[in-house]
Formats: sequence, C-alpha cells, structure tokens
Amino acid sequence: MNRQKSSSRFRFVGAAALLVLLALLVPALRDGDQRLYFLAAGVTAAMLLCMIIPARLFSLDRMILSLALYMGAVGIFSIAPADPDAALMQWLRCSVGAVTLIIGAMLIRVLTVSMLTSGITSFLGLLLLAGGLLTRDVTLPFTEAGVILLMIAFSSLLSAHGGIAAMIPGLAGTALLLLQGQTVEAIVLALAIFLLLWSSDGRIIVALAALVVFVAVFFAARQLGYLPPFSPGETHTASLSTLVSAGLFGTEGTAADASLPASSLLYGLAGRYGLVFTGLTLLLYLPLVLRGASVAGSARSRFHAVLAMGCTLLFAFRIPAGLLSAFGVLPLPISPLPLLTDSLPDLCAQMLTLGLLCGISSVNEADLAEDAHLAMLAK
Amino acid sequence: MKLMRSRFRLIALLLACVFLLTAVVCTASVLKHTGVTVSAVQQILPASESPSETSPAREETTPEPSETPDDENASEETDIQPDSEYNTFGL
Repeated sequence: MNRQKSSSRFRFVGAAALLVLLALLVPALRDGDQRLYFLAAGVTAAMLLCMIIPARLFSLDRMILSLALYMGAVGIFSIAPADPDAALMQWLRCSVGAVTLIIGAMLIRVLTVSMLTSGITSFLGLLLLAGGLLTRDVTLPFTEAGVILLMIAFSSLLSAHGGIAAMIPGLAGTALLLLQGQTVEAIVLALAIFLLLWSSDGRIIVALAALVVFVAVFFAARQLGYLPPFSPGETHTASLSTLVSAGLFGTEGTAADASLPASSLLYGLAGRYGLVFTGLTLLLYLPLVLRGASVAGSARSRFHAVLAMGCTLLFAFRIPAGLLSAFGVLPLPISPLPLLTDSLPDLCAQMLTLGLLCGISSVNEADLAEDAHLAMLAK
Repeated sequence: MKLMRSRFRLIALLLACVFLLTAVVCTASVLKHTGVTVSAVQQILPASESPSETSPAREETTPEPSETPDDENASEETDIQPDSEYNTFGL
C-alpha cells in the first residue's frame, strides 16, 4: 500500500518536473537564451534532488514537499520568458525557501509544550509585528513570519493552559496587524484562532467569547479608522481587467498594470499561460490544504494537532482572500497567493509553515512505526 | 482528542467548500466582466436541445439594452415587444 502511494507521488513529481522542464525549455529554444537553458536544467534538477535526498534524509511528507516545490517552480517559469534575470532571482528565493522548509521540519522535533516555547515565540512574533509600528520609515516584510510564531505560541499555550490563555497572543497579534493596516492578515489570524478554539477547546463559551472579542477589536479598528474602506477601487478593476485580458490560453504581450502589487506572480502566470492553466494550477492548493488537515487529524499530541491545523488554516485562508481580491470580488487589499510571491520573507514564512507540517507528518509516521513495532513484540 | 479530530474533519470540509465556492465566484466574475450573462447562456441551451421549437422564440427575443450599443437602434427599427410568455423564463 505504501509502495503504491509513494509510486503515485513519484509519478506526480515526474510529471511536474517534465512540465517545468518543457515550460522553461520551449522559450529557451525559441529565444536561444543561455539563462533559460540554465534555469530549465537547474530548476528540474533541484526539484528531483529535493524529492530524493532531503525527503528521504529527513522523512519529509512527499505530497506536501512535491506540491510546494511545484508551486515554487510555477512562480519561476511564469516570469522566466519575459524576464530571465528575475526568474533566476526567484529560483534563488525558492532555494532559500526549500532550506527553510527543511529547517521547519527539524524545528518541530525541538519544539515542546512549555512556558519557554510560548514565551519566546510570543515575544518574537509580537516583536516582528510591532516592528512596522516602531519603525514607520522602514517597511518590515516579516508579517507572515510573525504570524507563524504567534501560531506556535498559541498552540503551545492552548495545549498547556487552555483557550483563554492562548487567546492573548492571538488577540495582541490581530490588534497589531490592524494597527498596521494589514487587514487580510488580521482576518486570517482571527479566523484561524477562532476555528482552533472552537475545535480544540470543548467549551462553546470560550469560542463565543473569542468571537465577541475579535468582532469588538475589528469594530474598534473600524471606528478608529484603521480599516480601509470596503469598496472596490481602481486597483481591483485593473486587476480583473489584467487577468481577463490574458484570455483562456494566454497572450504573449499581456503587461500587468503598474498599480497592481508587483510581488504577485499570479498576473505573470495568467498572462503567459492563460486562465485555464492558471485555474488548474491553483486547484493544486486544495490537495495541499487537505493533506495538511489530514496531518493535523493524525497527530498524537494535542500540540502537534493544533499547530498542524493552525498552519493549514493560515496557509489556506490566504488563497481565497488573494483570489477573491485579485478577481475584484472582495474589496480587500490585493495580496499575493501563497508560494506565488517574489517576497523572500513571505516565501520563507510560507515554506516554514509547510516545513512544520512535514515535520509533524514525519512524527506521526514515527509514532505509527513504533506502534507497529510494539504490536510485533507483543505477538 | 476525538472531538477535536471530528471538528478538524469538519474544518477540512469547510475549507474544501470555500475553495470550490471561490473557484465558482471567480469564474462568474470573469464571465461577468467579459459580458457573458446567464440569460445569454439560457438562450443557447434550449436551442441546442430542440432547435425547431426554440427558433421562433429566438427571433422574437430582443437582447438586453446594456449588452451592445446597436440594441437601441434595432429595437426602434423593429418595434417588436418581447412576448410575456418568454419573459417568465427570463428570455
């Protein structure tokens, strides 16, 4: 059974690597650009090597790893024909991200439920989020990293001290995000914390209290003018026009509007390969998210279960938020989709999230192997 | 832990539904932006099933005023009012 599963995953990796190779080799042959040849060989080899060596060495979850690598490669080949130098930089960012993923998988073996873990991660998370308020002249792009650290603190506190104690760093993080105008991140964190409290803490009163508190925080932010006006602006219209002008199968000369967020690689992907390929690619987020939920459901310890579900929720909620704002449906600020961003700190934070999931998955597998060993000894 | 796992499954289901809903809403947004409306799709569907029955209805049907700039001229020239029977079906 396991052999069949791993064989199907290897087939997916093989197909994904072939697709990436073709997507980079065809423009390389057409343009004769050496950088595109280098990217075609380098990205495909890196994908295959990552699936063979670190996955075996650190017992990483192959499904999460392969999907994360493929989405990273999509970000590279979506901009490669138009700007090979930017694609080379994106390859370097993805390489750093892959290292961060492995670090995340290792980190989960070190993290334990303790006041030390909760204190350090809470302090660092709040510090990263408050950094934007302390230094107004310099924009610190560490929001997602701060949110992940707060989620680790929340999981640790929820496992050890219950829901009310765990809500404090989450609430403080949401308030800091609202003060900085990071509405999407604040909504994502608040929703994730509410759902985790509802699912983990059996008492409905705690979940209701959390809901009331978060609604009060958002209402206060609205009254104080920290929330942007919820009406579709010119950016949303330009974003939808750019995506629609790509057509079903893409056009060579679609240029993104200057008012759109430059860090989002969605426009490059849609412009080059069309809405059909973009939609099919974005559907791959669904198995990634469902795998994360499955890892959370299989975890033995409460800390690992809550952390895995928290990472999955943080990752998952950004996808509809990014898509609905990019397609002009929701009047939220347009944010890049996970793994399709050229912001190195955001990419590293997202890879760290997936690395934590990979680490929890490997702990689950080790637990299962130990159970099987004990059952064999009992016979 | 058992309650938590069952609620995690519920959340996973919720996430899957949110994903599919997002896909549907984004597709609808693209179709709306490109000018493809539900009434246009309804006009196509009966025609493909039974062309002999629907062809008179399609002749009498006037497109929506906001779809094309030539609609106003067309309605002034022909001066045919849409049949109330077809309006009940949104045609």
